[in-house]
Amino acid sequence: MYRYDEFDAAFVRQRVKQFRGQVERRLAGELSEDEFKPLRLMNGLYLQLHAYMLRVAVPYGTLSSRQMLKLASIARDYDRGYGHFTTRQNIQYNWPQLQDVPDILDELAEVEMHAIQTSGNCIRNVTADHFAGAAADEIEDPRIYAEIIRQWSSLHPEFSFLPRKFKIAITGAPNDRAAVRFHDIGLQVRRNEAGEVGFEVIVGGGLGRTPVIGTTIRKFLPKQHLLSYLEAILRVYNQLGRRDNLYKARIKILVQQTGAETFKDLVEDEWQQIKDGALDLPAEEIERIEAYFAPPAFETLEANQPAFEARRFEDRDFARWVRSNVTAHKAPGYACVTISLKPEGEAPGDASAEQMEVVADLAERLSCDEIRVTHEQNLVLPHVKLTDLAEVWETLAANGLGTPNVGLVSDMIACPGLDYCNLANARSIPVAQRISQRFSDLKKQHEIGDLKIKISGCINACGHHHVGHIGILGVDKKGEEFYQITLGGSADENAAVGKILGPAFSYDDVVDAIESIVDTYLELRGDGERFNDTYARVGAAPFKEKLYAAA
Amino acid sequence: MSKKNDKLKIVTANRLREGDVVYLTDTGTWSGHLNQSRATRDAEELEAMLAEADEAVAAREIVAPYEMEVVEVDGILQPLSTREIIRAAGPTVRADYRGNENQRSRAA
Repeated sequence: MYRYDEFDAAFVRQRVKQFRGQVERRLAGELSEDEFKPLRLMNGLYLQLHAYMLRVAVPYGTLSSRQMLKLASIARDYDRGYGHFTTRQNIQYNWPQLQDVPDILDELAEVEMHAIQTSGNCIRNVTADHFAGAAADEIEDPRIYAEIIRQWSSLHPEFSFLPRKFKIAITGAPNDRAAVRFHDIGLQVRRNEAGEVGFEVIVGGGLGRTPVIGTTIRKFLPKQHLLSYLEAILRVYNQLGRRDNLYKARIKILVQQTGAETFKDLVEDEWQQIKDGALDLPAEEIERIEAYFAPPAFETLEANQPAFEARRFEDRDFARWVRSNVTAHKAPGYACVTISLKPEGEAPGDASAEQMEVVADLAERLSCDEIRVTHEQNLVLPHVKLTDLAEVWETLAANGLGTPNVGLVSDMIACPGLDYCNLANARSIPVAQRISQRFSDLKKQHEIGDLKIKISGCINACGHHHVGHIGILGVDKKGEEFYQITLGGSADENAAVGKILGPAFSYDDVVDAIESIVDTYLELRGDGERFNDTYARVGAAPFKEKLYAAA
Repeated sequence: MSKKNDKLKIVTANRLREGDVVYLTDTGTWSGHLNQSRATRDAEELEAMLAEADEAVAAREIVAPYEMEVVEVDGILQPLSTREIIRAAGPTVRADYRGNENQRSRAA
């Protein structure tokens, strides 16, 4: 894993000290709220519905055990004993007190963490495939480049006041687990015909009130040009992005309004000015960062482990968990374990301090000291030996972390919604909880198979509803919560934006509606058809018919 | 003669230091309990209450004050919107963490 150098450590410490002074001045009355608000936002501190909320960055979703233990102790000492993992691989604390935040930030700095650039109109935490460095289908570990981008974008003076926030995601595998087509910039590691590794550069994707699938503006960018090319994109955006209208300020609108071809030309023109200059990435520099992400010393193991296989045959619950929560690893005899933070009836993405400690302990002992946060609000132990899977499963299950539902109907993304968020129009979490209770039969969940339900409590789409196979959007109708349903969205390499099915459902009726849609799918699906395949084949009509005929 | 406003209103904010949700009371203090809040239908009185809130902002006691509508049912005040009901009672999703500053496990 990457370790802070002197520069990183110094700037984080410096920022904590600066913010401590700003909080003191605020409490002493030397700063007004209007003056203080942008300063606290630069340090990830929001004022939400009930209280302050602190958003802490987990760069490219990678954590060590030590860092996870710190997140747990902060939850216990300064918050209410839990934290919430988000779709941008961050963690949010829902109840910190302003007077404590400088101390929290000091504690985070001890483990090389911070809340810088988790808010505001700047380049946010760079996200990456949560199986990076472990996935069997990976070309190269995307975290090497995520870290290079982090260093370039942290406190970048030119990009501290962009027209709007800016999100970058990167994946090193052809199976896109980082939703790169729905980010301001998405990077997909590609190999060209000569066998060299570089990036496909995708620009102008996003969700929110205007969902857009990103456009590829460069099919292959050699590695050494990564930063100069990104800088060129950011410069064009910084100059031409709209600052007069909040809703038209993201780069996706600029790309749409200028046209992708023209936008690409503008970027190329800018790039010619700065290419092969100070931002050029020498091979030695890439190698220096690469060394931090060198794979752990995997043992030489047989791909087939009889004890593990026997346990699967012996124990149906274990077999079920392996089927949904365990993924192929690049090293023989190892596997990636996804820890579901979606137990039945609980808030998606929440973890208690005790649960974080359980995960930290397992990671230290049995996963080469590594943990990942996924954009689907789960955690990952990336490097577990097949022979250790049973122990991992038993420990997880004993701590409410063993739900075998990853990728299934109850593995939903849900934004905090009206239970926590100042912007929300409707609740999300209790809708997710009720859906997970409706589909409490795990056998049925496994029969239904892969199905992604995503729920947002307002049009800002933090719950990614546009890209759910089934999307749910909470709206306010004369003070009452209603839920609009979309079908056919997808965040992966088959990127698609869901289409609205029909009139919205009340809070009471929405779970019935979801069940009706799932039932229709089960009736109509052909062999091996996933939800979106069936939907593409039969269209919305059969779903609508069943759903609205009853009403 | 003061103007009558049909709507029953109270003033709410968050404590600056702690962030807790609070309501302006009859005695000019800020309480974590919605039912201790001062409610009025009088537009001028409401203005005076908002001015009081501005003073509390200047005194660094609270932040982000605003007026909100309530209804009175058998003498008990209830927020009109779902948002304010949740804001007053805590998230509906974690019964174990519900409550305001008065029930917080951690001493201030």
